[in-house]
Amino acid sequence: MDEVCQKDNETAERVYHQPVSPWALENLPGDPMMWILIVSEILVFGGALWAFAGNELLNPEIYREARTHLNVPLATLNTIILLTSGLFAAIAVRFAKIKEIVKTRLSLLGAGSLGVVFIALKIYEYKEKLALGLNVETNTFYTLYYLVTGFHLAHVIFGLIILGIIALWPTEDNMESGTAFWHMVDLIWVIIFPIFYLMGQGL
Amino acid sequence: MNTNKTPPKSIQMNDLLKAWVVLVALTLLGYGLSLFSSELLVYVGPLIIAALILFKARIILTRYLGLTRCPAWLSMLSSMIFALTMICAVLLTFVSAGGTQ
Repeated sequence: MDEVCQKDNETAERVYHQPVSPWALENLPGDPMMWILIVSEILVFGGALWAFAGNELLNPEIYREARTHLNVPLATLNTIILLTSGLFAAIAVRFAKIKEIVKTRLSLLGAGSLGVVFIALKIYEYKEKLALGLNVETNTFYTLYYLVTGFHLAHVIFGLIILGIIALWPTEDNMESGTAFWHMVDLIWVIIFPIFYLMGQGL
Repeated sequence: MNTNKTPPKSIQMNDLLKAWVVLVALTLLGYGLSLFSSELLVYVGPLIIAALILFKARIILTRYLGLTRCPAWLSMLSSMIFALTMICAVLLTFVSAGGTQ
């Protein structure tokens, strides 16, 4: 018995003194590859947003006029919908950790449904713009608007597929990896929305 | 008769709900700011919006994504978002203030 205790103490001491790198991938929630993807996605969207902001230096009048056609209240509502969807995804992970499979799936369903509402409102917004004759070739503002928001929309669709897959196999690791992607989609929108819709309006 | 009952499993949601309330409040604050037009907001508005983005991003990274257990990754992602938004805010402030004329 004493030997066992001694062994346990030795193990505990070894773990305690073992230097762990703050960059250790095993500390990250979910699959480390998902985090490599998240970092690369932020870089890609970041580049596009810098191009958008930098282009305003060249075409300030075009940008000023183009911003008057943006539907800011609808985009604000869409932001709240996506943030709520993120909440459901985070709740799903908590349920998965205590093996409440039904509640996990219901939370994922909530997250996915709000994702579908986001897509529907975004399509409505695109239709609104197209009805005004504002398409991808109208000017640089709208080229970048359709490019960035469209690329984000593609991520939302891909995220919905991932949510569907993890709902079928809701293990803790799958849940953490899948919802990390969904939160990344959320995070990117939280950056895109103010830069496109709010900065440069009255601000 | 078996009287041993397993206690119901419970989870803490309060932190997630609080995070969500703050995120929604910050989103509405940003929208509210965009409705005002004042001379001062031309200069500081984009910087305020950039601060709101950073605050919201930190909440998503810590509360939703649970990055508090990986401080180095949290700092790296926060720094990336800081650089991204601040450059956009500075460029847009420069344009709004008439720097291109």
